[in-house]
Amino acid sequence: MNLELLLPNLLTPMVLAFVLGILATRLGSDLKFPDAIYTLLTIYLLVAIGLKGGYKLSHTPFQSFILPILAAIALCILIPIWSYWILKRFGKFDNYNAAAIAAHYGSVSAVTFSAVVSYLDSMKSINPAASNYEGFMPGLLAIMEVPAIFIALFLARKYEIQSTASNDKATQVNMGAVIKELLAGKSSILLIGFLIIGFVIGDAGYNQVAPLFDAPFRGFLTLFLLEAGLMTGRRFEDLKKIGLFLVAFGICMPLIHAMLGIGLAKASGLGVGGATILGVLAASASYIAAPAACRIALPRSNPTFALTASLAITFPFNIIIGIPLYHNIAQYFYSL
Amino acid sequence: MKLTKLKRITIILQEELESKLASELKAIGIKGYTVDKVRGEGLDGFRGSEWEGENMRMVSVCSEAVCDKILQHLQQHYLDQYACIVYLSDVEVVRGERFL
Repeated sequence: MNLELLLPNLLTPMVLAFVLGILATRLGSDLKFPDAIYTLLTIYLLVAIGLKGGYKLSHTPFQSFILPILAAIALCILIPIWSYWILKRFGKFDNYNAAAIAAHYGSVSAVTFSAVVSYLDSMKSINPAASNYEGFMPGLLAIMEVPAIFIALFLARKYEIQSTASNDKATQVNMGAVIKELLAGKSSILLIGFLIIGFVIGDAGYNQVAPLFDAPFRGFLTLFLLEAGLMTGRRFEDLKKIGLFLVAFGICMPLIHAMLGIGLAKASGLGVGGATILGVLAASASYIAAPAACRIALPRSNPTFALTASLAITFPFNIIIGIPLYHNIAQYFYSL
Repeated sequence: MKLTKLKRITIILQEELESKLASELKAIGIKGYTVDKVRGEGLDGFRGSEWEGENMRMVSVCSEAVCDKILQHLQQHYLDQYACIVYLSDVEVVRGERFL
């Protein structure tokens, strides 16, 4: 691959902070973020994404995002179903682990989304035509967060009933808890809540909070990626445990999903920038909403598999190589 | 001062289940509980950050009869599914009537 294509992305403070985080852990550094800071950064990113998306959405005609919404929904139905099938059929994973990994890959990563948005913003000065994106993209992020997790849990449950022919009462209780966890979980509440808030506050309202949520966004994202790098570095130790198949899965599936996302984006009328974002959304794997849901709904799955694949393989791949690569693939698709 | 002999039950479990477990234990008969966040490592791996999921330790003091019911409940609904640690100890408490 052409390194020049990756350089503008590699030499950003976000990616370098992420790499520094990984290095720090590998060097045995005592650098560690307090839990409260991690929580604050997550909240900040979700609020900023939601607020800005809702505000931009209020300036968008309704017809123009119907098709992209359908494309996003199609992606989060297809991805968990075929991921589950591949993991079981070729990866030889059991029902619970296949469903847990499928849930992670079907759902999306808000931080990877933030990274692609900030990448496209920084590319605007170099290549404005290919870097403008639709303001309603955070709406798609919010839509794509939850459905894939439900589908994966549904697949696991369907298979469980088929194979055991018993109606396990404990699992039913779990489904109720997981629906609550997903819909009342912090990422859904903040993303959807602030999309609505951003939608209704208008220019005057948005300008009041923009100094906190717009300009400093990349600074906070840099801090978050430093913390993400520390976590990714710790997860590297588990790479040996998860096997070669899952490592390959964690790189190949995002590539395929990104192309699928870009193709659907083109068909639904998004621009090149929007298509890059939808590609990244399709390629990204969740590590906030999905793990929490799986811990409750699929306690028999081993979190090492899903979390290590998602955090130690797919996340760094997308952040470092994937984003500029998908952007170039999108440009190529649109030039056809 | 008068001391009452009771059981202290300690449960270590993923923190997402705190409110569910607490309401179940109250329905069984405990009068109160204390929870703190803990981290550590066991047969089911390391739990110690928001990313991996965090563990909580729930402690309650109750009669032996309530304690037996709690153990049965945990056996049925938690022990074979979740990474869950349970242990008991004998305690002597002041104002024992508050726990019964």
